[in-house]
Amino acid sequence: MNFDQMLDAWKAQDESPLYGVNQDLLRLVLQHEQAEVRRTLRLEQWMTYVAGSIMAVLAALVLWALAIFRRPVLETAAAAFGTATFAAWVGAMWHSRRRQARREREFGNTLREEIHRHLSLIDYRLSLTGRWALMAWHAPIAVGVVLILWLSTAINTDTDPWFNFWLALVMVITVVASASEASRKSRRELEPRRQHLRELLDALEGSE
Amino acid sequence: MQDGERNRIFEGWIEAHKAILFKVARAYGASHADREDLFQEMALQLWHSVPAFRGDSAASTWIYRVAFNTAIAWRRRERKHGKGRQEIEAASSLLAEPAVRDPRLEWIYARIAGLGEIDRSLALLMLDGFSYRDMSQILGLGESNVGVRINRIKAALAAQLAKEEHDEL
Repeated sequence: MNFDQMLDAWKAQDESPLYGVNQDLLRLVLQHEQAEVRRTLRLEQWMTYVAGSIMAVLAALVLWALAIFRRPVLETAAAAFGTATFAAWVGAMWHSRRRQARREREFGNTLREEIHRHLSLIDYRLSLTGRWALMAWHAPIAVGVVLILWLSTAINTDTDPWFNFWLALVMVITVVASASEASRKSRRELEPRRQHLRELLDALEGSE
Repeated sequence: MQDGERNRIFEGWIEAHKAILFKVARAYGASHADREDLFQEMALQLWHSVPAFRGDSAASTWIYRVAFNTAIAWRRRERKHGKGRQEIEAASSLLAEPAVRDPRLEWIYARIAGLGEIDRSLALLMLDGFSYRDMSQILGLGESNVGVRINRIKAALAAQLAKEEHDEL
């Protein structure tokens, strides 16, 4: 072989690449997307942990103060309910994430398994955006808002009770509306991704 | 830059220039699993690099630059932490090796593998017909330095060729 033949051989490889590329790229994109979805989930998870824990502690403090100093039955029960709700919120989030992590671990490392893992992650994320799931996850925030308002009216007795009622209503509606909007946004983003993954899976299974 | 636009550019690059990534992966990865790993790493870095591309140079020049930087960093990391590769290799069937191998290419890649990190990059660029100026831009070397190194690589390759031809006789 001379130098020119060497160059010819070198150039010829461009016309017939050495490897199939699609599966690699697919895996790469999948991993990237999974990391993205996981980042969002992690952020939501820690926001829930932090917000839920703070609210649970605050509600517990109110509960303790009411129980020690004033002993009114209704407020004490409300504060106890708040504490339990926030603790349950954090616990439920922890349990839900653990269950999903266990589910994901069941998948192997082949490309198809990787797609299934990603689908499971997206299904999980979508399940959190359903109407009932949304209510369940955001109800504690609404409860927190109402309890804080109630507490403020108990301290400041000069304000009109109707004003407080409307204020509470507006805040709860804001929580529900912003949660619904966030959910719609997630669905808009995740539904096509799920569809795309299913098509890829079909294509992959069809080619085998 | 929007994700859709970024993905469009990335896919265009891969479609048009995937051969660059294959060549660099083959030149820097010792085993099949290494190449696959490196290929993915280069593609990922390329995706990350899309917003930084200003169009001052040809896409192929940019892709080579990203690929070399990734490959050199990857090799250093692999040398430090690389272990358990055999299991991965055994389990890996994503990249099918070519059914027909060109012995001339095998020879070229074997010679390239014997070079140092920078010379290896230069050899690839030389074989792809890049000018000294492009090479110096891609690798951040002075043009005269590129010239000296390229001449040395060519001389080494020519000597190898001559020696093997002589041995065959």
